[in-house]
Amino acid sequence: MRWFNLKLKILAGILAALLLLTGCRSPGDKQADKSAQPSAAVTDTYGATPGGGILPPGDGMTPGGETSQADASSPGGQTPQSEASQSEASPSGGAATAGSEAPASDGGLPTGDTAAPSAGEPDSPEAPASGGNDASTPGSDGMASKEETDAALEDILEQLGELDQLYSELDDIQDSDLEE
Amino acid sequence: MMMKKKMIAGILAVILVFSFSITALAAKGPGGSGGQGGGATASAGPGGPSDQGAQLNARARIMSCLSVMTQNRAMVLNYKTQNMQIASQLRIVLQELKENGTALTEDQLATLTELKTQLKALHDQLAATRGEIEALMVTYREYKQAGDLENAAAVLDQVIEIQQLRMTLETQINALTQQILDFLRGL
Repeated sequence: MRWFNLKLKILAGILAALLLLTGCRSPGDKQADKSAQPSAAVTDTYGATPGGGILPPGDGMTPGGETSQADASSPGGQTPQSEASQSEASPSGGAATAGSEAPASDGGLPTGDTAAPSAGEPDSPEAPASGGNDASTPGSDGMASKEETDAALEDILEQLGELDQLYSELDDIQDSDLEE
Repeated sequence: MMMKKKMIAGILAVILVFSFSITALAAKGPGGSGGQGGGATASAGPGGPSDQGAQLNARARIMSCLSVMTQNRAMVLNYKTQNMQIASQLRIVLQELKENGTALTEDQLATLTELKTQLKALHDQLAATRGEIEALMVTYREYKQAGDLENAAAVLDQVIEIQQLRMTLETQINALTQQILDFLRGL
């Protein structure tokens, strides 16, 4: 009789332990269920692929647009500084060429003529000639000099060349990677 | 008294069997539902059917990614072709302006300089992605050879992100190049 009671108690103990174990496992099952949901979604996507052959392109496009806009703002702020230094450098070049044009129009009096604009006395009839050259110098009537314009156009051409080269260097997936 | 104890023992035995069956069902349930929950049970028992489910899911992800990547590659090529067309038109216009000795106003020059600055910024961003896809594909091949399909699929996700970034940048580059072309044509 006592032996039977002991057996009964052992059985009850095992049962309690089992119930406890079952209780411990249930949160794990819940976690497993959570992680099962995304993977099920993937299976759905895949399920659509062999049939349709094409995945929704919208999925691929939208997030990219957002990221790149954010990216575009940050480097954009830096580059104008370097650009500004370029544009500052070019007017001085323009001034040098304007000075070199003046002797050509005046013929035999290069030294006297270059002094004339600053003095402004005897060579005043010749001043309009150099004044004509001044019209092409920056800032006189809101026009940029030809040199500045050419430099800007040349910059664009250079940038196009760099873009061409970049496109040729950009890597992408190979056909062998697509074989599955 | 003896009868009562026997009954209690019987009830306990039934409860015991019942708890066993519940435990067994809980372990089997998610994995047995057509493989959709394979990823969940993979953590419970490696090497079992749940592990196979995880492998199947990862393979499905890889197939899906490869499909998207193929489409993206075609779109990137398309943007590139568009850019080449716009750029060739722009080169002609630039050449004409240079030959004609056209001088811009200060405002026009400032606008052109600003547009060029923006183009350079986009160029630099695009250049920053150079070589990234190739490096990622090397990693992908390594994972795939090692049979680690889940990590292989994760690498492909990164490749797609880079492709999408490139597509966005190339779209912006094309729009900006077209804007410069329109601006110079309007001079």
